[in-house]
Amino acid sequence: MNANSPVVHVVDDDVSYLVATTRLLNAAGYTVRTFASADELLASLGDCAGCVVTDLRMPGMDGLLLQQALLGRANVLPVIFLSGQGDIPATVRAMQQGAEDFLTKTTPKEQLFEAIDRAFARDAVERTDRLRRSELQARFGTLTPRELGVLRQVLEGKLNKQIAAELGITERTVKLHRTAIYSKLESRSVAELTRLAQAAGLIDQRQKDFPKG
Amino acid sequence: MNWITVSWPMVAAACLTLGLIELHIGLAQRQQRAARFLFALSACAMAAACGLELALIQVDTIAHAEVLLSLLRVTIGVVLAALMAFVWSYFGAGNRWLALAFACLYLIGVVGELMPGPFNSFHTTITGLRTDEVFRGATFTMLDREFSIWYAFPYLATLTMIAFVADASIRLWRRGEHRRALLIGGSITIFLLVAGVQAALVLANKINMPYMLSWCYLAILVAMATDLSADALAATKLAEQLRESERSMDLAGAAADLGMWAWNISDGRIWATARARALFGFSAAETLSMDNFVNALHPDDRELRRRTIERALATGDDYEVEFRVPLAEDRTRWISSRGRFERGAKGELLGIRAVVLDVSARRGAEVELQRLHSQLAHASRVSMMGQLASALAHELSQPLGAILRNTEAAELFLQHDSPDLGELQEILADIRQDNKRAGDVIQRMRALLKRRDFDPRALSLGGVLDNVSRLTRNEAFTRRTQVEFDECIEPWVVMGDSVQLQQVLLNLVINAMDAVDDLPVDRRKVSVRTQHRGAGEIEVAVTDSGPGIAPQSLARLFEPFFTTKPSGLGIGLTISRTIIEAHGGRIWAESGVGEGATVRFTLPLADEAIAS
Repeated sequence: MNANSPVVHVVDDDVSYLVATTRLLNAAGYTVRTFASADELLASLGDCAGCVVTDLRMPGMDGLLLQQALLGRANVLPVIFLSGQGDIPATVRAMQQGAEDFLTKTTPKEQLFEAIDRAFARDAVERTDRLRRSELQARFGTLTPRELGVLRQVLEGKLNKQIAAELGITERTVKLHRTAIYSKLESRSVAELTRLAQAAGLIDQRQKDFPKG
Repeated sequence: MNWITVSWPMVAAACLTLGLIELHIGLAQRQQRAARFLFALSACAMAAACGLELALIQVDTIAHAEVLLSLLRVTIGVVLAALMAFVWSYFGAGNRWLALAFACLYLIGVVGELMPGPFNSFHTTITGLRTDEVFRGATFTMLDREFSIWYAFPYLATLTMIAFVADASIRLWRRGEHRRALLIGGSITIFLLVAGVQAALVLANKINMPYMLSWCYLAILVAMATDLSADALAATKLAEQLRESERSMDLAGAAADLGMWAWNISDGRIWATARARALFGFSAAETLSMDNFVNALHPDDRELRRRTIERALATGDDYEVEFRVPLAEDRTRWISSRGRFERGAKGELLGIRAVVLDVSARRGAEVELQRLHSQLAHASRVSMMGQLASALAHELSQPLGAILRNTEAAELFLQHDSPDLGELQEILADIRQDNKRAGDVIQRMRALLKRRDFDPRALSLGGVLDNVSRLTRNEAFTRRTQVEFDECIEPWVVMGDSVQLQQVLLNLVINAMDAVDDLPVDRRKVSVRTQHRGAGEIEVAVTDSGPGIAPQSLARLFEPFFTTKPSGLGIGLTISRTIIEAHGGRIWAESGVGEGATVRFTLPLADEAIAS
């Protein structure tokens, strides 16, 4: 199996439905892997791209718990829920946890395909994001602890003088650290540094606004 | 023809008449039968003695006279012996030594006289006949005799007999039966005294008259006739009283709506009051036997009644049984019958006496109550259906969804240039199977909703648990409660109604879920366990991790309309208990405060024969 081609992971304790869905998805040209329970999926989930189509109600670990478990994994696959019938509290929880879609088992195939395609697209985007972020994080990883401390102050918008006073070092040393930071992170301005730090998940939107006040 | 030849036969006839009357009474009636027979024997023997007396009056040769005298001696012996035995039997008292002395003395006298000459030097001999002696204008024959020692013995015997009768009469008197002691004891004593003295005087030629023993016996006849007529009068009075009390009993019976009947085992007849006859649908004139009674019963109830009576017969207790009597137009009457066995002195069964009561109204109320119960059970099932409707919808969506996916897949296959027919065939088979699954779900739902009567059959407990497990999965999911069902490994088979048992289990599981609702999600636990309890019983326990049940609530848990829930009706456990008890099981709750509650019920396992 090509690691790059996305796979639909179908989880359902009802064998009949599992088989039927697999048939349909195969016929529609999807690559499918089937799992009779959430545990089975979690046990054999690799770095495979794609999405998860899961039954909401299953004995043992149900769909919502599976979704939570996936969120803790490195490979966060988008989840599409299938349930017997509309269940508002469960739908709300699922969507809050970032579900791609919430369908009933008797949804027409077109809706299912659309949801899967959307999930694939989302997975692709998120996968690229994750890739970039991990690259950035690797770059940030090369900074020494002192450089990281200086960077934090810089991102807060402080001047070299202020940083020197804060850290108890000379202004000249602060400048040396900043130069090292710019070269290691391959950036030229504070604005770019801020963008990179955001992309790497080091700071969030609110923190960026905070120093301005 | 003179007065002698007329009056002696009259006396004989009187003796014979009373003897025959007593004989007849003795034959007809069990009471004092021996005494009646003995008196009849004595009276008849006296009639014979009377004939012998008459022959002796007219005897014309010495040889004849000797034969007649011997016969008379023996006959009188019989009269006296029978009379004494009669006193003993009739009075229920007597001195055996006096009786024995009498018998010995009399026998010695008779045997001594009868012994032939060479061994008997004291033989009494008749030396001559004096005919044409005139007594009160009639002629008769007198015997001239030489006496022997043997002649004294019958007199001595008579004396002992007087002592015997006097002794028996005194004992009877002391027992309070004055009239009979005086009348019969007195008359017999008078007879013995007068007859003895008269015979002795005749024998000694002191008076010029024939033997008149039979005339003396008339005293006894008069006394016995008086006694008999007193008895007859008393019987009439008793009969009147009996009718009176029967009328009172009828009135009381009618007022209480009670019927009575009695079965006499000796003639197989059944006596029944008018009310009892009406209850069973017999006419007033009909002669009744046990078969009539049994046939009047509803065929299904005959066996039960028979078994109840047999069981009571074995233990000796009264029996109580309820049965139906079919009436016209498909109606039935419920009758409660309470019976007692009548036994004789030796414990032998004489018959059955019973009261019967129409309990149709009560039974009707019971049936009505049962109907209400069934309605209530139905209502609770319907309300439970509300809770479980989504579970069934979920179950239905599985096969329906699978059918849809298979159809869609097939459509896609068919768009190919060369569709895989094998694959299509598989799809169709799967569609068919899922269709059946959907049908089964609907069937189950229909069974749950349908109101039916109790219909026990052999069923697998595992199947019941399985169904309930599936039905509660949705509820458990929605309420974020962990519900664990025992894997029912043993193929236990119970006799019961699967829908009702599912209802009980559903009820218990949902109650348990209610109990853990307020706990944090990770502590909401309900488990259903089964275990064999020996003695052919299986126990199912539903345990929750909730706060438990307060002791004061625990005691009232199964009472109707008792509930601890704000929105509860308080009928779930009541109905559960009704159902479990109808299955021959028990249901109870256990709890310690703060450690969760367990409701357990037992079910009897079906016999192996039924299971297979």
